[in-house]
Amino acid sequence: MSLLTQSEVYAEITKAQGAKRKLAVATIVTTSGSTPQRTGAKLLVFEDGRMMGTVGGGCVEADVWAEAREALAENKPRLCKFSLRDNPDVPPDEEGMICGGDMEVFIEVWN
Amino acid sequence: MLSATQISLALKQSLADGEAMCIVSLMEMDGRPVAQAARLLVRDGGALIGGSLGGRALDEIAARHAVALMKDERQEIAVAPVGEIITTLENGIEADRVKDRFGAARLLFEISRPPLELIICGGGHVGQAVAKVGALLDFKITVIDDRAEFSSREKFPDPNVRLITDDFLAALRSLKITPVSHVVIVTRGHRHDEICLREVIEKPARYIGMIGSRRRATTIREHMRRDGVAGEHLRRVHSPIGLDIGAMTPEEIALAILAEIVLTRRGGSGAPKGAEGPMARAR
Repeated sequence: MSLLTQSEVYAEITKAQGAKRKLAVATIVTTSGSTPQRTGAKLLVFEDGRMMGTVGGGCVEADVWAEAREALAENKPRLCKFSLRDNPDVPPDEEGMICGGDMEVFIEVWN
Repeated sequence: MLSATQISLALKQSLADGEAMCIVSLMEMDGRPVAQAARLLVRDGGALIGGSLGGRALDEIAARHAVALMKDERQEIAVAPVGEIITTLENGIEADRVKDRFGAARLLFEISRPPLELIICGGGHVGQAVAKVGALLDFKITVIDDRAEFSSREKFPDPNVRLITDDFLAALRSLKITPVSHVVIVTRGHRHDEICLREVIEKPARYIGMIGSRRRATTIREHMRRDGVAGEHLRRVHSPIGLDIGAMTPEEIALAILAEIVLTRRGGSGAPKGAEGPMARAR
């Protein structure tokens, strides 16, 4: 899995700003326990919902994407905590992965 | 406020200079995420190259922490409350002021490092396989061979691989070998291997590995010791090369070599992680 580099991220922000488009940058800043996610992984979410990069895929990525879209709509940054432990709604075998851990995602909006 | 363009340019410059750079962001203040976070750019050597977190004393404290993080190659990102990084450094009136104002704020440190280089001496079967696995791991790859047919685009179709057709010694001398360089010596013969090793052994490469049997490795080390190469340099050489995974084909050997390089960079034991599984007997 090739993560977005900082150079790529800032190049994208510059590009979006040039086109007068907002952009949300979601970064996994902390993790604890065992998660398939890696700190430093970044997901860029554009106003039209398009995304770039990855925070490790799976259901978490969809959650991060949804949070980023809300942040874009509000035009405000967010710090989100995700718990991957004992999700009561989804049994582990159905999710296709067993991970017990927490992670914190910083979502910033660039205008 | 730093613009994205300014950050982009500073990153480009720093990485081109072969230096790591840390972007420090004031991520959280009074328990809330900060809009248009203030940023500070710090270079490997400690130079503050732009931006500010909101005060000179705070910038200095953050920069010192950034420099310490950049020294540890495994570090890519870290979050630290300002209060915690102050206590690990010296205290003073300035530090107390920072603590009052920013103590509970959290800083995000994100480190960018120059791309890692893989210099492959020898374009034979093993060299070709090492280039493939190295590309998968995002190394910037250079291949040297004195035979044009082995340093050819036909053998290395990946356009990102830089090819040098020249005498091994001349080619290595033309390259700048730095702490991001990893040198893999897999030429067609021991004579060329030894020439390459002698040229790079005192250079600051992050990794130097040379193919060959245990006996051959010992013989070459002995030759070099007799010629006055210091023991500390000889001990850095990974030879025979690679982790012991029973590799036989060129691709398997390449995997063993790159596994050893990852181990060198990231730390680890090289032992199977599953102590109870079928690999238990391998321990």
